[in-house]
Amino acid sequence: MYTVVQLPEAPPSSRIREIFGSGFHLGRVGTIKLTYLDTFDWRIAGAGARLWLETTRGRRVLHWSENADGTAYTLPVPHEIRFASDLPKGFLRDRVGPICDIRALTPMGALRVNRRSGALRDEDGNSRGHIHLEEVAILDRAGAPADHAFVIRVLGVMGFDRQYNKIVKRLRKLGTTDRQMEEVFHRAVGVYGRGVGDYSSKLRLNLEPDQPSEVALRSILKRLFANIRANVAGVVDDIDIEFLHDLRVATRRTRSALTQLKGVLPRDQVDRFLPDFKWLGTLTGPCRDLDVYLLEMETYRRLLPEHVEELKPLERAIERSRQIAHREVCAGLGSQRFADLIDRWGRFLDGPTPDEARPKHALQPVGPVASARIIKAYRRMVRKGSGLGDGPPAEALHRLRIDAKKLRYLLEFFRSLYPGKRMVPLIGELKDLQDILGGFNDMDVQQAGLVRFADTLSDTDGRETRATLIAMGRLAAALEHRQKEFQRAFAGRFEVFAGPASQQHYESLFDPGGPR
Amino acid sequence: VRTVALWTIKGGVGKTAAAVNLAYAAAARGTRTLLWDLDPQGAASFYLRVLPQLDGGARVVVNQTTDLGWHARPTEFDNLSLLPADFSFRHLDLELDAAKKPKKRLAKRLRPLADRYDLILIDCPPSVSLVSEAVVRASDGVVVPVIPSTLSMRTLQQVRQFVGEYGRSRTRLLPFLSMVDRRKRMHNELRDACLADPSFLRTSIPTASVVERMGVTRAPVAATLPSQPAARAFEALWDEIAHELRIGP
Repeated sequence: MYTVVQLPEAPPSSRIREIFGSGFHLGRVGTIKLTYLDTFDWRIAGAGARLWLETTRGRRVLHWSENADGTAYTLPVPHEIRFASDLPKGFLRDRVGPICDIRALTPMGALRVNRRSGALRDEDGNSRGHIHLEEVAILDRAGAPADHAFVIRVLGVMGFDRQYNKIVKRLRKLGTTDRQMEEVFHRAVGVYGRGVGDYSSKLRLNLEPDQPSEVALRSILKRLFANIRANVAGVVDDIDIEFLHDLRVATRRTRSALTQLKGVLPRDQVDRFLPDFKWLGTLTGPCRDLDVYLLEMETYRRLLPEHVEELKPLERAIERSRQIAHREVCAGLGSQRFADLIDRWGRFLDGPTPDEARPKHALQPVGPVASARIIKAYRRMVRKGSGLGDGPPAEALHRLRIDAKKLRYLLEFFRSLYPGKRMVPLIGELKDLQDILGGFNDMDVQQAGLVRFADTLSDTDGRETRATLIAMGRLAAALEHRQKEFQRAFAGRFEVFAGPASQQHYESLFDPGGPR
Repeated sequence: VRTVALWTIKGGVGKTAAAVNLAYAAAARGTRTLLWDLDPQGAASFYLRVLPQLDGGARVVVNQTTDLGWHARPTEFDNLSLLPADFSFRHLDLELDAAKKPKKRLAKRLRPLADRYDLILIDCPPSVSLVSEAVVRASDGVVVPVIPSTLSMRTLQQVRQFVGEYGRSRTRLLPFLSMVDRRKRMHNELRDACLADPSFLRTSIPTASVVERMGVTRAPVAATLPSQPAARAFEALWDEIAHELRIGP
């Protein structure tokens, strides 16, 4: 029995007395700072939940609610929680962990609440309900009040349903009683300059098959451009490693869209941007690789449980290199070259293409163009991957991995043109194959990385370093073993991807006649 | 979560007053606290303005069909909830006796609450029964009020023996001096004798009219008169218990 009413202003106290009756006793007053938390890409809101931190007199309590305006699970936390892994083991970590994974929790809105608590008592002096009257200031990022609201919360005690229902009826006359805190939440998020679901690394486009290809490609590129820009601040502030990853994915997708969809945008203009996007990829590559190593440390520890201590110097060495790499990324993102790229690319995307510069596919409907590109990319993969057998050479797998990525991007760009039901299994099959190809490549890259780290470690000798080097040798062997496993698994997965059922699926769905 | 029982065999020694005030002190420190009023008299429920009535009565405590937490009531204080008493608790030992593994039953019933509370404080009926066995078995600490009288100290011996016999190996016995009147010479002498025993908590609770007045104010002393010596003493006593049993928010 829980009700929240939100009003623009505090009602007069006489009105409050009328609503709650003579058994109403007003008690303590307190001030609470409330901060809504979510990941940059709204994973908690996406799961239909809310997480917020309440701070009173230096005490910090996390609140977790899975039903809007409902009661919350609370957990006092002694220190700042940035990642789900900072939470103590238990209910909240079990909930938040799988949702947020490695993404950091960041403030998405804040309130300052002046709360007066009171109780409703019956003639025997027993509590029938608990009341909170809250003057709410919605705070901006600087902590200054930007908006306000007045909130009344009523928590009824079980067994007193009648009184409770009467009060709710009277409260309804003041305002509605549904999803009231939700409204405050959305306003607070707005004051912070955000909106629920305003960012996702997924493309989520709505293309129409008969749209001119140029219009479709521009909308793909614009979405990718927005994602590049959205992640810059998070990369520089180093909030979590997904900002850099998302920025790189959006960059790679941009390059892939430009090179795979030739003849849609003017060639000479596109060519001027490609080197800059390539530069952006190269700039951010080393830092991402090191992020992956640090992420993989947990796996390394599991692979070598008896050498956990010896791996520590390796982890420290990676952390040092990562710091340097991150500084280089920040310098690049702060450079004139990057500012120019953003500026020119933005103007290019918004600007019109003069009729005389329009290449041949620009005005063709995107449906057939998309189908032709997808089927071509698929056939190429089938051709290249067939006959590789049980122990395919590393070089061939590497090339196939790049081709798979290209096909995947095309499927994602044009997903909205085709029936979702038919696209999902295709993307799933491709993803399964990519997991193998990617895993194989990762093991390769990581082994090479170990060799490089071994060089930096041996500068400072001593017994400790020798033990670390031996552990790294074992690690390399373990990685090689896993790589072989990926290699062996390839044939099976490829058979599914290139099998007759899949081929038929692709050929019928991406008939060059275009989607209908 | 830590489970702490307030228990003694002898009545009228300030057990329930201690339960309510200690629970309030813990909650005021930010510890998510559930006070379980297991005494059929329902005095703890009364003090915290909760109707001493539990839907389903003693059976709810024993039967595993519902979540006990569902019956917890909020109190007028932050972080403090109460599981109300019910007059049917006078038959709780009979209900328990009919259950499988009765001595382990209360511990089992409390397990699902572990994530919601940091502290479960049980106000037990002042008697020796199957209920006390099950409570001791479920508890990390048994806090025992002892008034400065020879009889009360003999009772402590019995309690000590009982906890040794039925508690788990890590169940701590934490006696403290209750209702101490410093104007009485005998109280002072017995107090010194008790504090020579290192297992006694160092803080003693004075006899005070503000504690007696809780029946009128129906609130913990510290909630109405925070600067009173008795309020301070309960806070200090709680801090000692929290330290001994490593309880914190």
